Amino acid sequence: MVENLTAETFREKVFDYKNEKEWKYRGELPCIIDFYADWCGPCKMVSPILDELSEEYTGKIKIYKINTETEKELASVFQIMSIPTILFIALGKDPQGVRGALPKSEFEKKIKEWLL
Amino acid sequence: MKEYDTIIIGGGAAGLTAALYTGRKKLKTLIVSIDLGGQTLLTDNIENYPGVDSSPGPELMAKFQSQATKFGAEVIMGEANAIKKIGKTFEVNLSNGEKYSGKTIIVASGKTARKIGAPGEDKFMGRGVSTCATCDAAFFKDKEVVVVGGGNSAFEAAELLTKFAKKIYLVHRNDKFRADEITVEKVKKLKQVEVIPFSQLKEIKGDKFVDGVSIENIESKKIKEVKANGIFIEIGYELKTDWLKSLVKRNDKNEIVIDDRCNTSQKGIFAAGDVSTVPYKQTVISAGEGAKAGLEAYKYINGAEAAIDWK
Ligand SMILES: Cc1cc2nc3c(=O)[nH]c(=O)nc-3n(C[C@H](O)[C@H](O)[C@H](O)COP(=O)(O)OP(=O)(O)OC[C@H]3O[C@@H](n4cnc5c(N)ncnc54)[C@H](O)[C@@H]3O)c2cc1C
Repeated sequence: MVENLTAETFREKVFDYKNEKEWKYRGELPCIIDFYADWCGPCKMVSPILDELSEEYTGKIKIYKINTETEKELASVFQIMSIPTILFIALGKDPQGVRGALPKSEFEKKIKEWLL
Repeated sequence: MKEYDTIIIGGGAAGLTAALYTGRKKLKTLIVSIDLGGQTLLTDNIENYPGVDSSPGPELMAKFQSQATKFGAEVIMGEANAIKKIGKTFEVNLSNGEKYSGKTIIVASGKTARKIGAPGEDKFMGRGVSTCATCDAAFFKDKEVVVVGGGNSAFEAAELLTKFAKKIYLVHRNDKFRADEITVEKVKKLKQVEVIPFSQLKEIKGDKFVDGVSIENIESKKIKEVKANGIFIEIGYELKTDWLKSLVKRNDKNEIVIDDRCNTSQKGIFAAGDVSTVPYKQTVISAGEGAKAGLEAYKYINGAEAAIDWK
């Protein structure tokens, strides 16, 4: 299931930006984070794809969403200026971001190349 | 090089419908597209696509997409920049260097958002430069922004931005605006909006993110430096078909000339939707044209007209 993150759960599950200076991912599985807003058309293309992927990759990767409208702090920590922005977080590496909607096949490709 | 029966260039209504038809006819199909959904993504509400009462454009296009891939079409994101005829097949080149071979090609590349062509535009895309005001306006709270353009979308962007930004410069090539008069009057009265006519962006500046622009007065050539964190490009759509060179016949509007079966002047290359000479540029028309092009591609490969199924 895709989980919506708040600033608090983000610090707990992904990165404690208040206390850490260097990027340090706290999760045990690689993850994808979708920065979105309800008013954003292209974001609506991504949302059902993430739902499917979260089913298909259960136990392999985590999928999170961040509503940039309610979680302004998180949007500014990542300097998001355009949505959708999708972060791919592999274990032991810096996160990689992609701007704009992606089709499912591209998500699958990036999961293979970057995360697994 | 990976080989396909048909390579569809463009993932809008025309391209995705073509893929639905070629996929169902078991043609090995590849869609190459810069984005998925095309211009229909930009309509908040499409009310004239039959069968869906009224729907946000992106929701409708998400259905087009899943239906197209359900029957086997592969999708890759990329920009086609050349097609070469090699014997009986075609080679499609992408701007990232990838190459694919297709027995048939369906060009469904619609219209493309026009760029301003100023230095910094590509570098800062998503880092201050935006082509989707409804998506990104809220990230510019209390910032200064520039909107480029003189049509409805530019004025609507400027109006929307007044809810967030503290200052909006609207830069336009002349002082004649294509936008509806009432919108123009309304926006001009908004105190955060400053219209800068007869001007164009010379450069978008910044380090990691945009922090300013140089605006040139087209007549006096004087440059004005403006502090801004957001640049919204709203200068409409253009037909970009120059990359096809003389491979297919185009008219003076850059549309690919087709007959009533989507055949172009080049056998094996079909065109569908807004990119073609078909009249009335609408989603439902592009979808219908895409279906036709898909069936014609099947006929070209198999030498016989496809039996139409209703299953
Ligand atoms: C703001 C707006 C509102 C509209 N409202 C309506 C409406 O209410 N009802 C209606 O019926 N129509 C509406 N239209 C028109 C409708 O959107 C178009 O007629 C329709 O999208 C055309 O579909 P298409 O598939 O032919 O082309 P497009 O939708 O333009 O799709 C073309 C696709 O090709 C891709 N592409 C372009 N060049 C390349 C390349 N070199 N390589 C790879 N990919 C490429 C693009 O990224 C895009 O995905 C509207 C259009 C706009 C802009």
